[in-house]
Amino acid sequence: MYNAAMLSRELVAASTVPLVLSVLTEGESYGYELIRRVRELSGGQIEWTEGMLYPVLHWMEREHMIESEWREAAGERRRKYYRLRKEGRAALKQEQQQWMAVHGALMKLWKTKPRLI
Amino acid sequence: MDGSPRSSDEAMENQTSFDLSSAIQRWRENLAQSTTFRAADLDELEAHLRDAVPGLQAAGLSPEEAFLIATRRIGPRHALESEFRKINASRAWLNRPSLVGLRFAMVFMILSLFGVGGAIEAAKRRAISDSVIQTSWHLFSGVFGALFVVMSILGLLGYVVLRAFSRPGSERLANIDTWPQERRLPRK
Repeated sequence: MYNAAMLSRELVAASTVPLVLSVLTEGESYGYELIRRVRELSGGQIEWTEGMLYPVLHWMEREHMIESEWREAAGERRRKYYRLRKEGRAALKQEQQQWMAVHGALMKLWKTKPRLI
Repeated sequence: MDGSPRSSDEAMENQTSFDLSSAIQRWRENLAQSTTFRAADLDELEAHLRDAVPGLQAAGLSPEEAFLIATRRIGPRHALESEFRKINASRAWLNRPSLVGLRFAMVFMILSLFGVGGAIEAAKRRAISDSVIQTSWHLFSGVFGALFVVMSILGLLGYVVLRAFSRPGSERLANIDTWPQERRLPRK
């Protein structure tokens, strides 16, 4: 079902890396949890085709933004945990500047304050 | 016109006794048919599915409903394949259009290998009876042999050069455009 508030696919693709990097600043996480966190943060407006997150995570790992490790937490299932690296923090800083530039310009034009949902 | 009452009864029975773990197994096997996914990719996707199903069941869905929704959210195989292929490019390098030349060289290598084998075999048979034909066959196999060596070198060279210049990471994330859920703007 189409939801007017949902992001376009181009915007979803562009925002995935900064979202993943930002969520990982809260601490290490695995794919399913990352998706749940993003859905929660966006009030359900950011919906991913969940399996598609993994190639992005693998690409980010190859670019040394993040690192991963298979681990079995006590009493939990074996999962692949992702954690931020130094290069990831630098990449996030860049992303922040770019997103804030766009955001700031739009806010001035729209003369509105950002509000949640 | 297909399916007697008995078989539809069986289908109903299967539906009510849904086996989650074998459904997950079948789902994984279906993905595993594609060479695009590494075993670790499948492990990760399966772990995701096993995390997602209980969450949906907690929301009141039956195991089967939870499984169907969870697999749907993960995405269809062809979509996953096309995105994983960009990352696991070293596995899919044979399908790159840039390597058509290499495949061509390989076909020649194999063909000329057959040529050499056939020529040697023929030369052996005719060796005693006809020395003139023998020498012409030797010449023939020599040509094929040289062709084989040249094609092997060309093939290897092409492989090395193309591997060096086609770093998998060069297909940037910007190309990952099919991965968000298919969503179209509403028509007026």
